Amino acid sequence: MTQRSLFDDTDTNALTAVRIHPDFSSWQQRARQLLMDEVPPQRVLWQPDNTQKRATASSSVTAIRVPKSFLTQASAASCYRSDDRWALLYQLLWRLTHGEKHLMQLAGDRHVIQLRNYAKAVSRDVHKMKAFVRFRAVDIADGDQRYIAWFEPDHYIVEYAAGFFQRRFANMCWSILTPDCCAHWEGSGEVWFSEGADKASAPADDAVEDTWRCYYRSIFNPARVKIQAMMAEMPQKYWKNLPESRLIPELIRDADKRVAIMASDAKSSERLHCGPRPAAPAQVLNEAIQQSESGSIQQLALAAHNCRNCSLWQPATQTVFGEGPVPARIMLIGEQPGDNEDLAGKPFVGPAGELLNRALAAAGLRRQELYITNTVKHFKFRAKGRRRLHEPPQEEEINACAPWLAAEIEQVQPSIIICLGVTAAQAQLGTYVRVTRDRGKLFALQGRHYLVTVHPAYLLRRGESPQEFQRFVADLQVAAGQLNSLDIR
Amino acid sequence: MKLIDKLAILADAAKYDASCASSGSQAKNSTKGRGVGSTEGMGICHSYAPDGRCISLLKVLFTNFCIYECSYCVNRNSSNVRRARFTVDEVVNLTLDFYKRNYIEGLFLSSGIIRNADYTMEQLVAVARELRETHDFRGYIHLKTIPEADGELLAAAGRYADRLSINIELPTQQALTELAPEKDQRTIKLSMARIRSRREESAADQEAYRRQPRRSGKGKPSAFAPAGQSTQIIVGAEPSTDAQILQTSSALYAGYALRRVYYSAFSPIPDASMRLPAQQPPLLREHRLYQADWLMRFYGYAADEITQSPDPGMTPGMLSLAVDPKLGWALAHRDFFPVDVNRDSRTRLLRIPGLGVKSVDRILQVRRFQKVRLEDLVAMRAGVKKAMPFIVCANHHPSLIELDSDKLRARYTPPAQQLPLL
Repeated sequence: MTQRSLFDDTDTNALTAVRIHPDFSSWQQRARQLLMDEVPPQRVLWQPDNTQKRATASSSVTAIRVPKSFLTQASAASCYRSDDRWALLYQLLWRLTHGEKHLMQLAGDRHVIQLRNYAKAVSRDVHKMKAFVRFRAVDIADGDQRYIAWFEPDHYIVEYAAGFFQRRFANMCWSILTPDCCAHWEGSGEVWFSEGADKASAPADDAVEDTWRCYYRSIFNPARVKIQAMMAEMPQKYWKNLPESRLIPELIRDADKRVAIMASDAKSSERLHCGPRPAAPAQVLNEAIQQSESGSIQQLALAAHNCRNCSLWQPATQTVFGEGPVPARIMLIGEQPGDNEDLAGKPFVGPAGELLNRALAAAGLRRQELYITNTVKHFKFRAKGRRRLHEPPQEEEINACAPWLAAEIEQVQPSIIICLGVTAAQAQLGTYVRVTRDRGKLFALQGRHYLVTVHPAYLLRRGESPQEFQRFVADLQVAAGQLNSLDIR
Repeated sequence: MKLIDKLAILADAAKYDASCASSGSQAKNSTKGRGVGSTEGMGICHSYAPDGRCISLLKVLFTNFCIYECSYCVNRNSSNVRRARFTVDEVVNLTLDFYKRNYIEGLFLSSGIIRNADYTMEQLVAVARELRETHDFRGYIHLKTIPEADGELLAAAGRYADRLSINIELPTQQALTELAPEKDQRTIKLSMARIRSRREESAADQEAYRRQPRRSGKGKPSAFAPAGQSTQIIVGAEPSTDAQILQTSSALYAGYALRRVYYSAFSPIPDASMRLPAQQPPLLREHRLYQADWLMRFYGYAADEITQSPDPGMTPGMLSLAVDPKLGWALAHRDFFPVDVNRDSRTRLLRIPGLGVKSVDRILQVRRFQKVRLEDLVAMRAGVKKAMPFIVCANHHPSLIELDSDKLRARYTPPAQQLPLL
């Protein structure tokens, strides 16, 4: 077969009239045939005809490759209430298969826009059908009920939308009657369709509608009347089949009056109507602080929940206080809680904590025998979309938290303090400490030993090489060794 | 009391909660079940009230008796409103009756606090359990979570509900202490944290199940609150600024993976407390906050960027009412423009006033094949008129003089006083 030019209009007299049953599969079948015969769009006259036989879905094996976006939009647009839709679909199909395979991506193209508008109008109509169909229950035999709705869609969407109702109301028997076509479901099998009906064949009422109207009336807030917003989403053409719509005029009319009454009603009586009020949370916490043993670590931890020494408490979830036996021979101090710690309220429970656990085990230290805490007790972060990004604490925040840490050391009385990372090291030993230079060394200060090493998060950031992990373990082993030598002495 | 009278009271008491979403849950339907119901991703608004709000769910309180004393709330202990209480069966039957007639997508159940948090939460969970287990209801369930309630109750709630929500109510702890003395931001956030953790655990379980070579043994692990969690902030009941509100929202989105933060303009309530402003609800301010929220979630703006754009005559930290926050940012950052729609990155395109996410993605698609012209933008239904001074495209080069002009702002602001949002 010879290739004809798309613009070859010389043969306009030879129009091919194509009669199809107006449904997507029938169009698909004929369009496929026309395409194989290389009949250009301007020579096809599409004539929808309800008396034609419907094509069955699998009546052809010839596959024509078209983009999926065309297929989904075309099947929606095929429900549009206008007879030119079949020509439009064929026009697009022709262009897609004749050198314009990227056509669907040209959002400014005339035909693409028309297809999109048709598909959009249909999908909006379907959406409104899902929303505004109102079933009325009718008693049938044996105390069972059938649910029947009357609806007037803009486009030919009943078959296209029926699947939704089937999936949603699978165990009810229902019918949706419309002027063009009616859908019926018997609780199993297939949805079946019949000719269009008129409104009189649908039930006129349902006792539950009074309850529904009561709900509609009560959920309306008269202080924020926005009629246009309502009309935009629920255009008046749908109102005639909505049981609640008859309330709308009265609700709008009375709204101002109701608001005026509310405003004049304001009062200052604090007489209780529902029994005694519970204690305020701050009061509960204060009582718990007072009841705990004075000066104990428990009391400290409780009191730290109230800490407002710096501004970090506001965005954080909670204070993350230290954890472990008191007294303990080794105390571990990190920088600050991270995302996971902030949620859990415990130090070192996230990925860095998991790495720390492995390193401690490898160094022969038992985590449950250590007291583990942080220099700063609140998570400092910057919100970025759905994530909280760690921000290093500033000097003022470290200083604000220093009394808590000092009190913890006082209670725990460790022989060795392991500082994980620069924040902890400098807070304990002063700014002259350099982690890279001084790691793994023991410092003696005011009768206590200090060991500096990296923060486990540092290893995670660097991709955790086995060598780095071993160095970290070796640092921790220095503390373990020191502990043993202290024992021998 | 008759059921319809209870409904009148308990729906009236629930209407100040702005949340109405029924979208974003896992797909489920009743074809292989015993009952009714489906959720297919997209939410459906079954009706609209004259307040412009959609009616998607049966939104009721279990009871409006409440031992708390939150000044802004119509149900506070000292309020002289009529009180009522549903039984579990009453809520269940109402939900099913409405659902079967296609009035609603499901149930949004909240409650005043009676006796204590655990007891109240048990009632809410009982309704959800009855719907899911006895009636095999597969529609949407949104449960309000009582932050002080026990973790096991929260776990049960997440098993039955599509969405959980805890209202943070006010943007700062200080405001909460003043107006809602029984509430505590720490407790609220802890509860949000628990929901986030549970959701992550359940997502990990489901992922592990999916990866099993043979999906034998126990069935697919159930999802925990598959439609996520949301919260609400009341706007205009106390003097917090928009900057404080957005700062709080962005920390909540980041910290607890919230799906939505709802902003609810404080509106007059019956038997209101004298401590609160008896004013028209600040609807335009609420609208601007929603726009700003959108900018944070879909356009890559940080909270402080949005509120730092100086607007003549505005209180610092407040969003302009005259222009929307995106335009406000553009007017305050003219050196960022013009943006070339044929060359610039998606991030930059998203900052053009008048262009939404959809238009930007269409531009990116089209420009792979051809130069984008002004008419293409018109055809895409992008807000071309608004965008013009800020963009360069194949046949449009705005004069830089205009972009620098003092008159540019005036072009977007009506000369008369700002009309109320209607």
